[in-house]
Amino acid sequence: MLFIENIKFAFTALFNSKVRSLLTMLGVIIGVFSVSILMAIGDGLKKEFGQQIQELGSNIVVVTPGKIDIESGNFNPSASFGVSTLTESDAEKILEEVDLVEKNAPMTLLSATPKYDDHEILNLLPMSTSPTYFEIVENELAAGEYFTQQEFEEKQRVVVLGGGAAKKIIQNSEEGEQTDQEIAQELIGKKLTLLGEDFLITGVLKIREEALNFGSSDANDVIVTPRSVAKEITGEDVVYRILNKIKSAEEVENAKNRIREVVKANHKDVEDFSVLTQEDVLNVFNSFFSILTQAVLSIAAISLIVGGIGIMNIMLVSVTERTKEIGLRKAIGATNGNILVQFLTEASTLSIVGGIIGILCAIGGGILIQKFANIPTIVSWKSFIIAFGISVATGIIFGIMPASKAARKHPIEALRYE
Amino acid sequence: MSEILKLKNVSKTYRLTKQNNVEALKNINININKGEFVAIMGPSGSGKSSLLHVIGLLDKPESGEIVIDDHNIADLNSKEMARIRLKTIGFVFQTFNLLPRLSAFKNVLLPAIYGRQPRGTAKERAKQLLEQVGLGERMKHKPNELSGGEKQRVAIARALTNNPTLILADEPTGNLDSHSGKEIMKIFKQLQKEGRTIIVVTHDAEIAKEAERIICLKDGKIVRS
Repeated sequence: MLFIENIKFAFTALFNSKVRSLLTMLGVIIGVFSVSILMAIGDGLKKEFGQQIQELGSNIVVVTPGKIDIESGNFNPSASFGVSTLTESDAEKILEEVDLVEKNAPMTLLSATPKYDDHEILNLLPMSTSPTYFEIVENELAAGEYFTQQEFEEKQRVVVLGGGAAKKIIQNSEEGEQTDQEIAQELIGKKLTLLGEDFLITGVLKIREEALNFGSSDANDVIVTPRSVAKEITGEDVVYRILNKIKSAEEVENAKNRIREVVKANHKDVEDFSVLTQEDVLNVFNSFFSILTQAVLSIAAISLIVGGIGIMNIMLVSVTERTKEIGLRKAIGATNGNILVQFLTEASTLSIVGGIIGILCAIGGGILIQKFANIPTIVSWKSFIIAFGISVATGIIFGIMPASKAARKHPIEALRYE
Repeated sequence: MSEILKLKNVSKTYRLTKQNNVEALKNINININKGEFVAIMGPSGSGKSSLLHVIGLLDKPESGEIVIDDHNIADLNSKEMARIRLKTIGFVFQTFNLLPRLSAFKNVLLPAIYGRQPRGTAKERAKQLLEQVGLGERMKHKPNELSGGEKQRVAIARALTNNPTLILADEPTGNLDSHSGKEIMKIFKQLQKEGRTIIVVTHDAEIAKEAERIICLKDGKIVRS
């Protein structure tokens, strides 16, 4: 009965000064909201990246420039900064010497802005590769054909567009609602200007729902040209990625080690590259996310400390204001412990109600973010429990000082307090 | 007749500053029997409130011995003292000290919460007590919706919640008009008839006349008993 009555007393106190209570809870509300929403976004992105990586296939091994320390999860930024020592000969050597590799494709991003119908189309990912790329990635066509080995060797100016890229191109030039299929059909046979030359659009890929996200562009935004053509125009020979398809998923680790040996030998024994399986890529992402999570949690911890200090402050005021009440309660038989528990309950109620409001805001915010910013969010039970636990702990930790101050009050002095 | 309260050589000193001490009580000896109605009188500053606080276990004496209901206070810790305040003693104050946010009914229920009474019986008793003091119709009212006399009757009902044997009242009529004051004294008389011991601190001779026995204090000493 005492416990229930304490909760009732706490709510009476809370509702008697609504504005004050709300302002006090604001710190906890913001803290819990930010923990929950950032965890929701983190979990959402993590799940999406995970799915995308899985979708690429577990029997794909990627060679990337720069040495990434997978074991410790440290992500060396030079690996993604465009300096590459990989060459086509590495790709050829891998195919020649590692018989576990079924096929491979060298990839290079092109720094070019494509033009269609004299309009520049931004946020696309032009790249050059070999025809085997399509066999490895297994992205189905919406219309037209992949470019062939023959076109590749003849250095024909042809491109295959990602489904997203096709959409962006059409939206830029014309009005009107069209299905993806209609857009794809329309674009086949049209001209696209790239690297100062005209390219014929021969194929459009289907849009993949789970496509790797690169900020404002994703893997659906690719513009794939034959490597031979890009090399002829730009004179560049560097390779930024080598995609390797392994014959069987069980041999992935063996293949990885063999590829490393072959490339290392080809690089005069210098290991200035990394060989990553899909699992490694996942690990790198996960390590990146765990750093992100730590950063988020420390920010949230600070806001919760600020919220907790707010609660402590208002509880100290409340204890002083209600000195007479404390004296009276002691006179009619309340023990010091009773008073302590009463004020702790009150502080916890403030922080728990704040925490619940914060969680509700996070659920609403998650839905809005997913809908309007198109960032995946997962509001999980885990984040509820963490947020709830944090708010209970905040209330108790920051309630102890004011509550024990209340409990220690001398009954006579408290009763005489005006 | 058995004693409910015994004070032997009780002294109490308040330290105001390092040099300035006030001796509020000097070697007080009092024996009060069960069922007595006692008034403690004296001018302000004579120590009568200090005496009531010491008897009510709200304050500890410097020296001397206090026995309440066969408990020697020297042997008790603060939790056990709270238990005696809860079960054996009922307080009535000059300024009523009702909790402003709670209804009359909830104010009366408060000591039952600390006494861990079952909810149903506690509610039934609180209702009965409010009816007994003539406030059956005003249970849902908050203290600021009640008159002074009504507030004091709520306070008396609250003092009775855990059925104590000893009622301590500190100037219970001090803030009331004479009519309400008389009503309150009538209720105390009734409580005495039920077998409770009543100790009232007052400086009003009219009120003190209602008691069977008057103890007069001056400068912390008993001058008439």
